[in-house]
Amino acid sequence: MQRPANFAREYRRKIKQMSSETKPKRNVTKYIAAVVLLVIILAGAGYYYSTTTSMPSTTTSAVSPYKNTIVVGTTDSVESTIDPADAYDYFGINMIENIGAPLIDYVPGCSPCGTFVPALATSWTVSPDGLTYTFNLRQGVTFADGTPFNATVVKYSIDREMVIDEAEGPFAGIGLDTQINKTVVTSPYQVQFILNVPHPEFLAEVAFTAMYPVNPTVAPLPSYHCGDTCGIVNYTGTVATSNPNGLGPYVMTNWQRTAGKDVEIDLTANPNYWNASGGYPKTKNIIIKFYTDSTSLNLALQSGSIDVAYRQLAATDYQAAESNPNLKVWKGPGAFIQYLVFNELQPPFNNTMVRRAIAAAINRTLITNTVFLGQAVPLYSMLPIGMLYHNDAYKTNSGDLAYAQSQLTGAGYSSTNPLKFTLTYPTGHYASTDGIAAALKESLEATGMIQVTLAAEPWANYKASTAADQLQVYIYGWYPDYVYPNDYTVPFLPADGVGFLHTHYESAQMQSLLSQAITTASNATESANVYAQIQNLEASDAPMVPLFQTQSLCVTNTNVGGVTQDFTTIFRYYLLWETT
Amino acid sequence: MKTTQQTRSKPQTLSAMSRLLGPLIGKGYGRGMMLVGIGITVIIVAMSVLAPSIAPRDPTLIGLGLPNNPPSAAFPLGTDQYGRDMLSRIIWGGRFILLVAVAAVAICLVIGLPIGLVSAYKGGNFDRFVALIMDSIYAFPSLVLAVMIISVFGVTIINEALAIAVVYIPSYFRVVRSQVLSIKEMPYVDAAKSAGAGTPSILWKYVWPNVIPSVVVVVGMNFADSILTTAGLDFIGLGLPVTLPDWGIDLTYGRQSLPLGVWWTIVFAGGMILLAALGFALISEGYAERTNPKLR
Amino acid sequence: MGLRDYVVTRILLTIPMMMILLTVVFIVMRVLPGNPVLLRFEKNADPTLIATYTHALGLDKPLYLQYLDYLWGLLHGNLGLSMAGSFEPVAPEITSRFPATLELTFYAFIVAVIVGVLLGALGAQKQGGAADNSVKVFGILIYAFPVFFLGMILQLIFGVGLHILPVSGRLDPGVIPTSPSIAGIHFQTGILTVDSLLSGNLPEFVDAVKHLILPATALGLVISGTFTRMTRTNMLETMRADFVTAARARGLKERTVTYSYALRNAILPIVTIMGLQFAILLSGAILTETEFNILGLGTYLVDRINFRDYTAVQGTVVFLALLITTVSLVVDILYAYLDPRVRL
Repeated sequence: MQRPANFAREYRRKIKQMSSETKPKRNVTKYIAAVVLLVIILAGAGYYYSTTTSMPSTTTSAVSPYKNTIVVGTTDSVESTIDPADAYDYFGINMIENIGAPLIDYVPGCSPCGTFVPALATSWTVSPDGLTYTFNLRQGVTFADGTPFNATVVKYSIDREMVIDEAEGPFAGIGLDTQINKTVVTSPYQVQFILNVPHPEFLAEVAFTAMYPVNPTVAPLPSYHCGDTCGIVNYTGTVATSNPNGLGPYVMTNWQRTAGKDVEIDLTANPNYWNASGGYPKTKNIIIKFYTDSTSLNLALQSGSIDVAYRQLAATDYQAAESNPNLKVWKGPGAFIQYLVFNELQPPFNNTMVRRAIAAAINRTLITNTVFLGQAVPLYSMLPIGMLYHNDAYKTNSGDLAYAQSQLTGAGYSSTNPLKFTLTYPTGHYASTDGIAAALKESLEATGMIQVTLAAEPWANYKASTAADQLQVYIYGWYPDYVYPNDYTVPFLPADGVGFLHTHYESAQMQSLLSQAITTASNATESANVYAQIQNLEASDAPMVPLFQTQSLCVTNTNVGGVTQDFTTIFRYYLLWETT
Repeated sequence: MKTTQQTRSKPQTLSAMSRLLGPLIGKGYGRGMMLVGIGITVIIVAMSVLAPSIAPRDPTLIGLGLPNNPPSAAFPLGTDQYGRDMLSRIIWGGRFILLVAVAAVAICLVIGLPIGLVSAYKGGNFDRFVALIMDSIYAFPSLVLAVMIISVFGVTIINEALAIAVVYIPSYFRVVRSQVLSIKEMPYVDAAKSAGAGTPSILWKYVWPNVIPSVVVVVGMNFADSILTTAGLDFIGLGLPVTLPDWGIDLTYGRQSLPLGVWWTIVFAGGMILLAALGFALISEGYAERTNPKLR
Repeated sequence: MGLRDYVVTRILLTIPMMMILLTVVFIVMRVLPGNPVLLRFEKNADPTLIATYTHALGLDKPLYLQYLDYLWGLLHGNLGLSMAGSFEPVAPEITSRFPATLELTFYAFIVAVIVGVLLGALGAQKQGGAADNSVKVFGILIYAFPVFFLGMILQLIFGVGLHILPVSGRLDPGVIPTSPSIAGIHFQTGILTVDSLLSGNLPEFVDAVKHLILPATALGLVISGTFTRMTRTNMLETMRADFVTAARARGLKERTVTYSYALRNAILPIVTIMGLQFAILLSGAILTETEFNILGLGTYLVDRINFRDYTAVQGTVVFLALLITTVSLVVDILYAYLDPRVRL
């Protein structure tokens, strides 16, 4: 082989420097073989070892056929805090519902959910004028650190909510800041809430986390209104200073969170729980593992590393789980709805005809049957099916393409001059939003006069874009804060049109109807009439378009029981049990 | 056997075109690889260009078939979780990825080559400074840089192409620069200079033809890397909006159904990305083998 | 020049390289987009909110001051403040997430080197034959394989299909990482395989290894292509060299010649590309972590982008840039120590 001369010289020099002819002749192959053999042996030993090592906290005793620990997996995360004055996301609220306690509570599995049972309050009365609610509190209840629970604690908690009054928080969100006039301690174990006007939904609101008592030694009471920049109990890294709750069936013993996302939360039975004697919680320990997406969650469920998977799996996952003999799918009525929102600051969505056209053109079955495989039902009102006063107001003209086309023509569009807009949907929060968006695009473009561009945004950005009025048409969802019709009207229809949806829909007529809803609340017939008018006006003006309502779904292995899903959508860890 | 080493004794007077196309014909090492690569690439490009005509169905319509249906007579590649036809989605799915790759390579060529030529020819501290900058960028992970750029500037075809191009420009720069440096001091270049030839003609006649083989190799790898990076960006959620069918998006969303044993979405979408990258990589490798005997 | 001179020169060279990278990051993340706070909240947001953020992040200072603050902060390990709401410093979050990435890339690298070197040697030994061609094809094929696609296939086969390996996370639920202690002082590297071994927690070690097998294999295999090609090429060159011919002439077995002589010398140049491969490993790690749900620096970066937390993104990129330059430096010095030719 010919090589340029200087190259060879250099090469020789290099090799002479690096190698030595006098090195002992070691057979490298044997080395490699030995290493491989060693690795195989180690792997085998490790595998054997790991399969015979049981999980540390699971003990099975001859006495109890139930497991001590249940592992729950979810893709949710606490959005910001578990402070009742701040948490307004599903998961944060759900945590509070399991480690805190309300004065009164819903009956698990209720249908309908209109009656309340004693929790931290043993009894209560309402004054005839509907303005004074008196609660008699349970005695002998303490927080984990020994702080006693009494009427002063309740007043402290509610006063704190009034002062902090976070604009996007739960207290202001359901209007409690304008409803409650003051909180009065009438005796060590009796507290009164004085309202400004009668609110029949007040009892339901008392059962909501915004009214849960907090531990005064953990949660500060600011001296002035400072929103969310002071007074809120934030995540600090140690549970003791991050958690102001403590009267519930569980105590939080571990909260691992990094960069705004939860990693693991551990719950242990609260020995001081007021209903511990009732056998609650059913299972001593709960471990909650957080997964970044439904795939990981599903894989964990299939491999058995979690016992329960709750939120969010895809429709196909639930369908597959139903035919899987190792899994059980729990279904319950859900009050979760999803709807389309228009921002009327963005032309042409200030034009009612355009909104009506889109509302009419939407093919809901495409969403419920193709995307959700029947796990959702079409919804024709912003009030969910099963809610008091619900009626299918949006059903007229729904699916009527001719009507949609006529409205579009009236607004100046045609097949050669189509309506073009961007439909934005969030990722990483609700399930299957890409499918919903694809279905919406398809049904709207079937009119032949609309062209839809889809855009996806991660949830945090999505909320920011909504708040900045950057979006034209977008999708949101809603869970009930409390079970009463006005939880599905007031939050969506603020007077200035802003709220959390930024519809910029302003209607004096609607506001008048909403006030009437309050004043006629005690009269069922008048109430029904007013709510019918509200829903009809909504359908006619179409500031939002309800799309569908889903069941509550949860998948567990076949040993788990006690999953109770009802209209409140509260997931109660303290009812779960698992046989060994 | 005639080798086409970068020799130091004789000027290469073959035209640029023949230097480019020469290795494509004739027997020898690497021909098989290269031809396979060319074949794959041509098929994929043709499929993407002709997508509107050859796709049997509209790739965006949901509910055409049962969701997550395995390959069947009606749907040869199965359906995805919303009942869309995978075959049509695969046929349409390469357009964006290829478009970004073409844009990225174009940017690299337009920027990288001239900088390399000029910098090496000028020499001196200017050259060293530019080389230093290029070396710094060269070692940077392409995905991280792309992620950084896109996070700030948003996702468009140009942004993605730019983000990918930035990390690859140093490769072109190096290849051109080494060639220029080795030729710069050659006697025949001096001869040409004293005969009155200007810089551009020297670059064109002596440097450019020698640079071409190495550039082709880099272009091939550039295409392959671009395809992989675009798919990677899709996977972490920084890809184009989901309106258009795209292999990377299908792979990302198909993963949802992985625990259910739904392999077809993943295998076909991922397989196409692999094939596309492979095609270009084979061309690059094959060409390299033919023009650089050390690799055989 | 001697080794010492080379090291000094190389270190001196690293400084301008780092400065260039840091400046590029600063320009892309700070200068070009204008005010990142506006990007975070977009127009029409509450002006007082924007003002608060702008001031808290030091973005209202003149650019050159910001640049100096940026560099000065880096010297103190300050990588900026997060925009996620409470202006937490970014550096502690990065250092808490980094060990997971380090662990993954380390084991992936081992897989890559073992697979690459063995296959490359095989191909060189049987040059031109079927084995060699297979090795060549494998090298290119694995290079073109998207790492997350490979990860999915491994998950499908070993996780969903055969059910023998875990497919996500670093530990099973309920397994708590233990921190080892030396002389009564507790510390935690965050590298589970190290921590568990040091604290004698064998079940945790086994669990961590089980969770690492699939992601490290996926990432390692994809990187191995380059090592395969390089080993093969180097070995072919080496095997044509005179000293190898001499060894053969002395009657040594072909296998001995290949592995004892040629391979040793061929492996050395691999050190040169280790620095480059580290960068590629990091890119792949981002995708692998996302695929296997490992909470490392890669998922942190992706997460922060989703949150529009530009300062955290900038901090992470800076960290990675510094890391890579340091690794390159170390690798170059190592190679110079091993091969004196380089120092000339």
